[in-house]
Amino acid sequence: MSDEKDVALAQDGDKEAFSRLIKRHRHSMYRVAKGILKADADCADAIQESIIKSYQSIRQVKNAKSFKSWLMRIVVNQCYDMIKKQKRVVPMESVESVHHHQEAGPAYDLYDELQQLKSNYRIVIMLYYYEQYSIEEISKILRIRKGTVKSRLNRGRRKLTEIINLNELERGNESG
Amino acid sequence: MDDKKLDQLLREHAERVEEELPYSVEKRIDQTLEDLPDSVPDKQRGFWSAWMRYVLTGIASVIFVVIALSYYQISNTPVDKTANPDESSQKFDKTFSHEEPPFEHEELTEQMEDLLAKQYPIDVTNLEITFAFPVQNRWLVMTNFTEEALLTEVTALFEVKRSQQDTDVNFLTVNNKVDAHWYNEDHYVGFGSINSLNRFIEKVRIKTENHKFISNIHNKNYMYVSAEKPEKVEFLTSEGTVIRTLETFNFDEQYPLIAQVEGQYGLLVVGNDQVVISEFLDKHGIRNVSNYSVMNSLKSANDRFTFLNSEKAPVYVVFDDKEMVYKTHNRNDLIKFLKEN
Repeated sequence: MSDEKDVALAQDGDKEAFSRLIKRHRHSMYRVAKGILKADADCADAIQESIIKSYQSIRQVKNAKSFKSWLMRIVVNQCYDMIKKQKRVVPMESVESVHHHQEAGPAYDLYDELQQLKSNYRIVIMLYYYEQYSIEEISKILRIRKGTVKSRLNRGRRKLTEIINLNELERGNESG
Repeated sequence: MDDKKLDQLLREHAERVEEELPYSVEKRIDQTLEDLPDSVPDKQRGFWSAWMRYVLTGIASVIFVVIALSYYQISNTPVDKTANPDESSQKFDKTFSHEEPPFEHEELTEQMEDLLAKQYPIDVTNLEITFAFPVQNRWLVMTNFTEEALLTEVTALFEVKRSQQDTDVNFLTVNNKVDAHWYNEDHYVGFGSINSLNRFIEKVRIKTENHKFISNIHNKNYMYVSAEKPEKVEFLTSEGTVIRTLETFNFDEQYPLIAQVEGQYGLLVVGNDQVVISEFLDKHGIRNVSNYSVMNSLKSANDRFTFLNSEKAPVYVVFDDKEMVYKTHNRNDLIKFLKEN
């Protein structure tokens, strides 16, 4: 069943249809959350809150075709909210030291390099390459200008290249 | 590795990412979906029920009437002689307003981010141009950004010059973004931001020893150029009513100590008094201290703040948002002052 049909059903009060929507986009939700937050435990918290918020406001979706973008925007906002709350309580470094690489599986191996990027570059790369959003869609999801998306994409790629080259150099030194 | 190769690597990696979520995330999603109420919340029966909407509309109407009446009263009461339109319409040496810089925006902000990264070990996020204008053969550009690690708002100033082929960007200064005022003596630039609550502020009047300037607010920020230091900065509504006045600046000795919030107090405690100030204020129900500083050494305090001129410790000094207003060696007198004022 398509997003459009499920959105219409969910707006009529069908919980099963809403669950189908979430399950269909759960990987994207995770990847987007992972693009901003590093620890899986934090990603799970952000996704949980996003599910609840989207369930409460599903009737606000006017264009069912853009449901996924709408959902991703909720996830992005939730992740940034979490970062702000964490800052008030615990420095990010402490959180990261507890959770870093906690459940990183082989499926997300390039994530190690991506995780070393600043979050504003990382999220743009995740949305562009992994979620295959256009520059315009990313600009709407993150609420930044198209030019900013382009420049972050370029700078993110440049910095990612540096990280990969550096890691390869380090690996070469270790093995050599 | 070049850009093209990385682009290819990312695309390939995105394709081969396995459709498997970490167990904890998958489990949490399933659990959350299971715990959701059986039907999508109905707006009509929820918080925004018709009854609730009527109540809130009523409350909003009352608030609107109160604000309208207060505004009417304020505008009819000559509370401040500077509110006199005759004075507000007087001539100024120069009026500064924001103008869009004629440079490629992304390229410019990118250069600015790089310059900041070279100057400071900080992560710059969301750098935005908030105020700019041309001066002689250059542009002064004020920017705001978030320092990622601490999530603090920061203001940075740059000077931009266009040579024949390139755009040269020079970093001038950086300060935490506070609802106050900074004057940079090296570059003769004053700047600041207004409190978001003061949405009626439309311009800022700057008085120096021999000149008067106006800076129109743009994006909640203002900026001006003056070879003389500011002596008074006033925040004005469009009618010229003074909302707030600043008379202490970052080059003044007292500046770090004055109250950061108008109507409250800043407190300086000197001497090893063995008191945790926040607990002490809480214990006595004192809520009008917006910021405080503690110095253990009387000698250091006297050296740093020559106006203090204190012979013994402990000493408690109270500041409003302009200057020192009270000094005592007796803690009980301090409590009495803060409670009564």
